[in-house]
Amino acid sequence: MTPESVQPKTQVPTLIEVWAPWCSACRAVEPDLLAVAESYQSEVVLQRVDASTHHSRARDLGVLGTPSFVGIKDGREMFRRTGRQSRTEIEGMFEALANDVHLQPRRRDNESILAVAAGAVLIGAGMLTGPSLPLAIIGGTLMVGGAGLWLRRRRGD
Amino acid sequence: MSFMNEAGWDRIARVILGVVMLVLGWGGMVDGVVGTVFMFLGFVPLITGIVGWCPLYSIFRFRTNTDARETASVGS
Repeated sequence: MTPESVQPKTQVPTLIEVWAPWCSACRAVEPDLLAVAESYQSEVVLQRVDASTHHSRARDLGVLGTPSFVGIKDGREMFRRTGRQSRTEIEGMFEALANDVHLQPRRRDNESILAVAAGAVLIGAGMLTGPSLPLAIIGGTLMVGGAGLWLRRRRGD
Repeated sequence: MSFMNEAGWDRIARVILGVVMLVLGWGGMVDGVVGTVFMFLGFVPLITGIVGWCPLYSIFRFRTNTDARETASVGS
């Protein structure tokens, strides 16, 4: 199969991958992408766009980096992902297009975890060294901010 | 997120450094000019570590997160 020959059909859910020959992450995701695409071939069309030869098409899609994945269903863009994707994430994209499963945003909880952990350490250290009110305030602010961020993301805001 | 330019180990190291500086400064363990410097400069590695973005890295087009480096720019 030459995936680039596959044209998107408006009624058929389509996953567009914009890739480039120089992109190592594109080469890394290719085996998983093609394998998953084959298992969903009756439900989702995979269209691969080589940004080096189809520059204007990539620009029309608003893609700035490769690999980029754009999910289209009923003529509407359902989601957009950029960067290296795991097999589970690739399956999630196909599943979202094939069965209307809501595609979960990629969770980035590192900030909240770091903030809460740093805040807890600062409060603990502040208690041991005094107690120190400034350290308690800084630590408390970090903990509340980190927890608030985490809760906001859990709610999907 | 695409704006980030720090790897996980980099962020953790910055947060640890920031916490240590703040504890030494605000906890009164280090006095004088050094203590005052720690009190305020400690926020810099702490915040840049939590956010995952270092302005100096940006200026010098440097990054420690290799995953993002693997994402090539269209037209590069």
